[in-house]
Amino acid sequence: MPQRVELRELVKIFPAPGGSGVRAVDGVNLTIQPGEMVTFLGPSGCGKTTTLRMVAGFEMPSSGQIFIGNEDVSTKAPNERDTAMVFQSYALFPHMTVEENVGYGLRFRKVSKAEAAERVQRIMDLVGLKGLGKRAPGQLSGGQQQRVALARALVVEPQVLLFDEPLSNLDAKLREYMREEIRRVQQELGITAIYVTHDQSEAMALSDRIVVMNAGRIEQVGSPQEIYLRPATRFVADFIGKVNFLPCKVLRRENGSAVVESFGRQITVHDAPKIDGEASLVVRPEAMFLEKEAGIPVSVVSRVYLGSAMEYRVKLPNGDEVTVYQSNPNLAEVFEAGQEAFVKLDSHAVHLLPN
Amino acid sequence: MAVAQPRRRRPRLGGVGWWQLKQDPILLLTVLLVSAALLIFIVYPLVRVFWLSINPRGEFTLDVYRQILDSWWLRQSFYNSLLLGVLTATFSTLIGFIFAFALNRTDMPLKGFFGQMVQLPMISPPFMFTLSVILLLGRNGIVTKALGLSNFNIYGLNGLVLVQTISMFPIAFNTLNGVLQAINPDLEEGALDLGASRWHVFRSITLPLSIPGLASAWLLVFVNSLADFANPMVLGGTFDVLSVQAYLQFTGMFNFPRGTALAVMLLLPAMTAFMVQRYWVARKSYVTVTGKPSSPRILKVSPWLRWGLFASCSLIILVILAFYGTVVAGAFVKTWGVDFTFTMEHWRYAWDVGADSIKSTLTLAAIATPITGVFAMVVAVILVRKQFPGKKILAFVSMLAFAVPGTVVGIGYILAFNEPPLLLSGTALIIVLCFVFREMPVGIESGVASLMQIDKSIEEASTNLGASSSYTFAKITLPLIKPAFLSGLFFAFARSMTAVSAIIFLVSARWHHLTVLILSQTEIMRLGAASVLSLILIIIVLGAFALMRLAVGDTINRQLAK
Repeated sequence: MPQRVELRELVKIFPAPGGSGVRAVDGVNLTIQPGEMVTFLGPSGCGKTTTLRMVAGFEMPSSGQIFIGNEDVSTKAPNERDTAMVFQSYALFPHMTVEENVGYGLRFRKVSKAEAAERVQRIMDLVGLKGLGKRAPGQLSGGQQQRVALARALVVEPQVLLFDEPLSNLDAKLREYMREEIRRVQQELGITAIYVTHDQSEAMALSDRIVVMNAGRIEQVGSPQEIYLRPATRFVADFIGKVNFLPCKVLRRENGSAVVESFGRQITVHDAPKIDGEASLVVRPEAMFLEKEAGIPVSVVSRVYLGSAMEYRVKLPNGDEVTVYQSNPNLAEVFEAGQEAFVKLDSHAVHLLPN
Repeated sequence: MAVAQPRRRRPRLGGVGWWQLKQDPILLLTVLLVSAALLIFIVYPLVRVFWLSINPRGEFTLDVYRQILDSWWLRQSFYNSLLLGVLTATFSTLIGFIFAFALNRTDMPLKGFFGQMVQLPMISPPFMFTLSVILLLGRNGIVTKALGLSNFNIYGLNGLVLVQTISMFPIAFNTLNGVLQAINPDLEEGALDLGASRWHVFRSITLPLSIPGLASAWLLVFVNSLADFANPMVLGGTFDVLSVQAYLQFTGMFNFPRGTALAVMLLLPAMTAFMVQRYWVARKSYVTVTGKPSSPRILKVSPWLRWGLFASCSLIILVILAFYGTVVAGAFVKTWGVDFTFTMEHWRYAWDVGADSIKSTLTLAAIATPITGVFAMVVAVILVRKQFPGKKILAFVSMLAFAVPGTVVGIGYILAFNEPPLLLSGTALIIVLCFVFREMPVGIESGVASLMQIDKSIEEASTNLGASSSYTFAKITLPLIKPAFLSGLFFAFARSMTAVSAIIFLVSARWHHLTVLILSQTEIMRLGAASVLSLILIIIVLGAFALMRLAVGDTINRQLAK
């Protein structure tokens, strides 16, 4: 049965030379709904893996609580919690066959031999391992090993499925394929899952909600769209994709929206946070358009052809440089370095942050 | 669209090497010289031993073996050797595993201290523990007397198992330590996470993955126990073993054919165990599947287990320290077991009988050590970095000394180098050569291990930037393997200083060896003098160890400073 997971005021302090210790996780509060897939995203050292390992029971919280369902599991041993982890290293048992690996967790659950064998087969079919049961893990490709690790965790039908950067050892193509597979299987089984990664595109592709972490704290929790379009902090805006900050001044507020002025041009920001005076406009490169007339006057510094887009660096009137994408550049007019041009903003894709 | 690639010629695997040898005269010369040296100083003596045992009177016969098998006491020494080997190997592996598990998988206190202490027996003179056991548990031993054990007899199997286990379990520990370090803790965490209890994790994951290592450790200790000469010589009592019998037959009764036949009977089980370890067990080991290396992590263990392991490890280390303490005490008391007043008398006596031995031992070891080090490094480099025909055979022969008991080597050297053009017996050279070819495998192993660590692309980067291959070797490869080279030097020196089983056949009035002197002093129950000489030996070896650490640390510090 998929269960709700709740983290309350979770803190983990690792002892460090010099007394006070390192606050790896610093007061995390979060509720994950049954069947939801939540990704912890952040730079290395932000506390995301430590949080995951606390949910699994490999680390004991210094303070705070972890609930799975209605049960406080904070001090329980890993083998007493109904969680299953897919490791970055896969952690396949090299002295067991694929089948034995997948069936390992069923040894500790009240499952008859026949039922265990049937469940192992079913789950191996589901993840696409049909016919590989008798192989040794060492005889499989990286992608197949990844599937064994996934099947081994799924077969016990855990209350919570945990992923610790499971795709980081695969090449780019396979990584994209496997993340769709993981998402498909998770949704098919309706299982509650926590996923840890530092790859933002992986987080976007997989998650119902993303938790962006920095220095042991949660910066923002939200759907991929919310995180991308309406980042709560400059850190989140910067960490997820490319972003430009334009200086602006809030002129007035109109039922939830704000009218701001930037480089002499007025623009309406929908659902804007309550900020007065000087602020920053958050604009993604694809929400800016480079044109021949009308807009903020800029000069083109450089351009890079990316195939699907042209990436320009342009200089604003105040001397700041920003990035602008021109999509489908094979049809559009190309600007050369040194050329004068104008930039327009897409008012549906801009956001406001305090300075 | 797929573009047809021009087919590139790949070097054929079968005919690898001849071509390279022709291209590279220096390599050709090196390979020839190394092969010749190995043939003359490793293979040839063994052939002579075997040859004499089946050709005692100039014609082929198996009479010598028949006589041995017909006499119950010689047959018994064969069984005894095996029994001692099995018991020592079993206990050593068990203790080695306890230490390795405690140090790698628990949060037992004082792990650093235990890790250092465990290595102490590795650099001790080979029968120092026998000396302590006699001082503690012998007829005049303090424990024997304190407990009033008048009928107690430490001479024989029990004493030998005790002494060999204490001196050889570090071999098992070092093997198992490497094995447990290589097992990714993710595997154990994964099992735990899937619901296995700690005991089940140990039984279904940790133990099965350690089995090749356990087998390796067992076989290595078994080979060492078989080859041991000095401990059974002193502590054996009526418990005869092959190495001692072969020595007695050869040097005491001058029955050369019987001595060689016993040596062959000693060689066979040792070689078998060695080959099984190297070519079968070692292959069975599990290579961890993919994944980036994870940092060592400690699974929480129950306090019972933690303190149980702590108590076991403490007990073993206490025994080792007590043995050391006993030898120190033995060097300073008048008559052990009778008169415990302080005296320096043994030091004066030891200096009188031992000064020449100390000087000659130091001289011989000092000459042999650099030769061993350089020769081992040359072999390591050609084994790792070069391709040439017969490489596998060369690798096998160069490692043979690990498997061949010293007694067999000693007899072989006497037979092989007793006539022109290689008339070497009685000279310093024969002892130096024996040191070089017996201690070389340690140096080769550490050289090979460290060369494998150096990514070939580092050397390629150097040649790519314009350096010649000799410049690259001198300025890139050599500095990187220097720590391994220095520690190889140290072990060659330490093992030369503490060697006894082969050397006892080769010493002469002019060129004596300290260990042989300690052995004879122990046999005539001059235990005070034996203690003093053992202490001097330990101090020399520890001094060399400190120098090596200083040199290695210096290298590393300078590399860091740059």
